[in-house]
Amino acid sequence: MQKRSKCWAAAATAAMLLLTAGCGKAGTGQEALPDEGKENGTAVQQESTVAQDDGRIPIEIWTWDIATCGEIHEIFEEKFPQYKIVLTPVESSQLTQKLQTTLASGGQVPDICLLEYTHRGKLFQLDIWEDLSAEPYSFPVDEVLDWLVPNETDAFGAYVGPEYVAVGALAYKRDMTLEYFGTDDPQELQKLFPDWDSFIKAGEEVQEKSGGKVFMLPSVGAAGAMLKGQSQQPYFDGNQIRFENSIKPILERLIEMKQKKVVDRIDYGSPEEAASCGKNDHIFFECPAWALSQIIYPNDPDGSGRWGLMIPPQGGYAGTSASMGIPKGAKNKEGAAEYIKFFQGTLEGGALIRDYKSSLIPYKPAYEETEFYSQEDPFFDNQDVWSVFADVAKNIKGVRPLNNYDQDFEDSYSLAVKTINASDGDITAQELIDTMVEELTNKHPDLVKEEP
Amino acid sequence: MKQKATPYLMILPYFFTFFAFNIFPVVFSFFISFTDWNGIAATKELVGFANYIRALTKDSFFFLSLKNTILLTIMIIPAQILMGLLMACLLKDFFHKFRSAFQLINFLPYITTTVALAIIFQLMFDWKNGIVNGILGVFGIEAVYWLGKAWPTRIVVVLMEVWRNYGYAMIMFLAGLSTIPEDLYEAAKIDGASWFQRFFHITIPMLRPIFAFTVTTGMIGVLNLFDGPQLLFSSINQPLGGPERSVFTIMIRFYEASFLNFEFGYGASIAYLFFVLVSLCSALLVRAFQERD
Repeated sequence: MQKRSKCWAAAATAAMLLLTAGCGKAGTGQEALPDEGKENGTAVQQESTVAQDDGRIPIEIWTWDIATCGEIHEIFEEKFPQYKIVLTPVESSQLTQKLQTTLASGGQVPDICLLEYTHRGKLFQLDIWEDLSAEPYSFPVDEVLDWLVPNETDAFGAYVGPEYVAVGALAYKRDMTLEYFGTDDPQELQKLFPDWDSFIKAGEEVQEKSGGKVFMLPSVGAAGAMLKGQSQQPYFDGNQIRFENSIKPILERLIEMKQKKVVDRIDYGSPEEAASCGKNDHIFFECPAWALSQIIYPNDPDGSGRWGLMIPPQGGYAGTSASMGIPKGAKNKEGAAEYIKFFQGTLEGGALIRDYKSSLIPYKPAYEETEFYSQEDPFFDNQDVWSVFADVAKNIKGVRPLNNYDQDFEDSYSLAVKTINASDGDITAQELIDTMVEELTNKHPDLVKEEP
Repeated sequence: MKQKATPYLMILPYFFTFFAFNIFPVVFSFFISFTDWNGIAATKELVGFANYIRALTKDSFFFLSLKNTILLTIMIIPAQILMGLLMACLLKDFFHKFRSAFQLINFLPYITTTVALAIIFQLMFDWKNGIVNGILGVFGIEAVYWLGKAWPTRIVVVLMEVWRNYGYAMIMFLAGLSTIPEDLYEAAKIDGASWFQRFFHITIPMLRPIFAFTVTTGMIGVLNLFDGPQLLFSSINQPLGGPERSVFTIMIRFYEASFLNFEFGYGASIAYLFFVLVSLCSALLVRAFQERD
């Protein structure tokens, strides 16, 4: 009896020790840092030979974009039978946190991380990313749209990875523009609304005609996304806050839109906003390329032929997108690089991204071939919507540089938008800026306020 | 010697687990509260009491979160206790036939996941399509932007928390009610006491230990409030802590500092300040109930 007790005790102790051993460091992203992949191709080769039971080497991707990837991954696996894609779903806002805790706990980082635009400034301060432009990957950076490259490069000069091109236009309901403006032709509408002043004025008239029922846009946030994307003015200069010429004019414009009832009171990015595509309360919709397949088609199933796409007042805009990065501690860097190159650096992969994800790739040759981004869309009354997006992408000259405080800025900005949304426009941009500055300096005492 | 070692070996796994998952995190987080560790860097630079000084003198968010937490506690606890007590008394005295069914119905929100509750409340209180504004509209009342303004948001959070937790208080009170001798009620009835008189002069005094327990545990729960307000505003483009940070609690501030700003050291100092607050409140409450006894 006593012997048996001893055996049980010994077994339990051994089990505990094993458990603890499992908690130990298992090769962190940082351990693998020193230029392993950059200069030593064999190290990459050796690491990538950890195959699964079926003989295929997994490429693990942390992503929130699961729904639209099934078919393109099947095609990739057919083309590259040595690889198997393994997706780990991670909420976009949680990805940085998950990466951080994985690095801190010594866990295994993925082969590819999707890096949300607003988190990139902070993540690029960490020396944890492979340089995709260097050997053995040799991603053709000179073939990437020039305006994207600076925001895909980390603080140490490594080209971390490309991103889908999130340029945006303005979608509209043809029957409604015909009713309120007498035309559904995109060129004529662009002439009617060359700037935001004319857009706001028209919005007031629409309110009057519809008895207050119809708005130009569903949310303050939608207008804000376009205005922010049209501006290149940085919000920060190092640790100096620079709001006077960047966000202040945008907030002023949003308040004006709220005062004049150009925008409805729906929360930006909410299911209600998406659902409003199928109703008749709003005429225009902020429309990045991906919104076609993810917002407009599914939310207006009977709307084929009723939609149109135009360039917004004052021009197309650059939205925010997620880039891809390979952590230095990844197991299968070679496979990861192959994946990124195929989907973002070839016409074959780009066509899949266009057809299955309705997104644009940053690969210049795709824009040089006039046929590549050209397709009549019956949902948009056979309008060539891809060429609209491609034109916007080609003509963007630059974007706001990344900053360590981007996500904090977005947090304080969303508070400001919520405040505008709750009001009738009876606030001033300066009040909102004061709150935003207080928010930011509270979070980051090192931030310096802007002198009046 | 071998015989003596056996009992120690037998209890070793427990103590090992206790040390690894209880003692070590507590001591380690106390240590990092004196550092500027960001959770990744291999080195942790000691900064003395700088984190605590920052929280108590420079961080207005800390005080805002403290204010919100106390405000929500004051709003939630009395409503939760009152609802639990009322339901328990009603079930005991008036719903004999369907008591078990009503007990289950009232307890269900407590065992429902907060994620589901938050989604339900988001839908119910949506400005455009929510059922609450729909009902208000029937009576000609203008739609309220529940999740867009400070006070309406607080009310939604209070409703959610009370609805979720009063079932637990009800179960505790039902257990307490079953220990009150029926003779007392019968004697009072013979003396002509009404239901309300019996409630105020027998039920409430006899339930004092249950009050002490439910108020103290309820208060600790509300001081720890995180998941409800966090999930209500967790979708993209929604501000952390709601409009005007009206439901920005201490735990959300801790989460923000530690896991969004990666200030593990500062986050740990907030956690310890919070620990002091919870300990103080609990001690005061326990003492108050003891003095009454």
